[in-house]
Amino acid sequence: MRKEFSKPMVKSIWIFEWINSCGFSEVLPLDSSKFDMERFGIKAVSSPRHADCLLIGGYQTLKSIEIAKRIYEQMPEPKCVIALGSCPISGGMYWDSYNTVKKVDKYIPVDLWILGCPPRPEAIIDGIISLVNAINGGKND
Amino acid sequence: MWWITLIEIAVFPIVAILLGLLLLGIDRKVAARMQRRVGPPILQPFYDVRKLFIKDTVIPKKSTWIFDFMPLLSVVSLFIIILYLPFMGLSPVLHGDMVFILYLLILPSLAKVLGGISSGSPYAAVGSQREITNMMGYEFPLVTIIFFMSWKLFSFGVAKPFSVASFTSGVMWAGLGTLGIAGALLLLFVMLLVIAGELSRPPFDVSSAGEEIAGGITAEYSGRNLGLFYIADALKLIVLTTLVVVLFFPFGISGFLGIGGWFALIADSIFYFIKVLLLMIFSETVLKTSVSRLKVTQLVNAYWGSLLMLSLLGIFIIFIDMVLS
Repeated sequence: MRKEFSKPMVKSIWIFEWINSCGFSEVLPLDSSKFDMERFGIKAVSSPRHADCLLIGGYQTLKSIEIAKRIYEQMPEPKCVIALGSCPISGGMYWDSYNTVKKVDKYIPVDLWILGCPPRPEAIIDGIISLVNAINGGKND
Repeated sequence: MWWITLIEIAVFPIVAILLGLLLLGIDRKVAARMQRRVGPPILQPFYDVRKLFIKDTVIPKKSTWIFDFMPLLSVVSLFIIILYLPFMGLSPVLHGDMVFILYLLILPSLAKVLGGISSGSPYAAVGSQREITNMMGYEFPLVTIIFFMSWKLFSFGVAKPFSVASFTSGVMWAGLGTLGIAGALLLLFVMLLVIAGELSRPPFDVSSAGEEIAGGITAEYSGRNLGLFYIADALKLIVLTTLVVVLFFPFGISGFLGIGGWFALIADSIFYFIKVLLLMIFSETVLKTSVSRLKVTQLVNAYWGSLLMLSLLGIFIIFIDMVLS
């Protein structure tokens, strides 16, 4: 049974990053003084047990998606999944490889897709805020 | 009057939790401003705790009942310490001993260690071992300073040199010349670093090193249990800063301003809050933003080498000052 995010939760979202591609260089600046995701209460944590949100960054192979699944199962409910970049949607530029996961949604239920190859830090913040708004007022940006 | 004591016992822990979470929020805000960021809202720790209490609590299959019990124990032991200390500038509710407080101060860290070991995760086990190393480190300078102060009380002819009430008379600065004040400031500096160590904050955060051992000691904790540890951290911050206030700045402001009654109470609590806030900023925020994490071996060297030697040097300087005058 999947629990939904409730209103009080969106003021403090702790994310666990499962990133094994170019997306990492775009997520890292979120912690810096220019973008500062902490002003929205978003924090990167280092244990899946603490996390509310799994950030799947970019290209997933058939092996790495197994680990992503395991991380997802270790997170306590309620939880959400954000997929970063084009690769989780369609396989991106590796679409014709035998080892590519073409659509992450077939393995893990994704709540938010952030487009881009890779997406800019502004796009990631904008995506998370639109997720927060959707939970808050039911409005779809 | 007995009913005032009852009210104090009921109200103090709640006020301490609120104050501690507020201080953590100010800490994060100030740290953000020092790094030229906007920073989270000051009430962010309250949001975090509320969220953690909403979330599910996962209990690993291989853990024992100790895992579920230890967060509660660490919060409750801190409640008890607060009743023994002059919280909010008031006189302590229960009359106790400084050595007893030292023993009680071990309990929250020990609870965390036991919880980490019993969780069955290798990361938490490594974190627990590191926390024990950390505990052995910071106790040494802390105990040295406190025993020196009770020796000083003893030399002044105080009947109970170990009771908290004797410490609140401001004995640290009594009868010191310029040289002695320099020595006392050295002890204060060591004490600020001991606070950072007790709270496992940078540069002494080896036990919860996120990048090396996946959150360390609390790796398996989630939901309500993690929220209780969050609250325990806030309470520990209050307890330790209050301990330093007792040791170094136990003075109230109401006598100085010459006011009495309820206004004295309010003035003293505001003054207490300012003292605690400044101690927190100097012992945590400045360190957190300017220094990176030590290795475990460096940590032991720092405590048993540099900091112990610094505190002994401070004591030696005060000795010389007392002999000269």
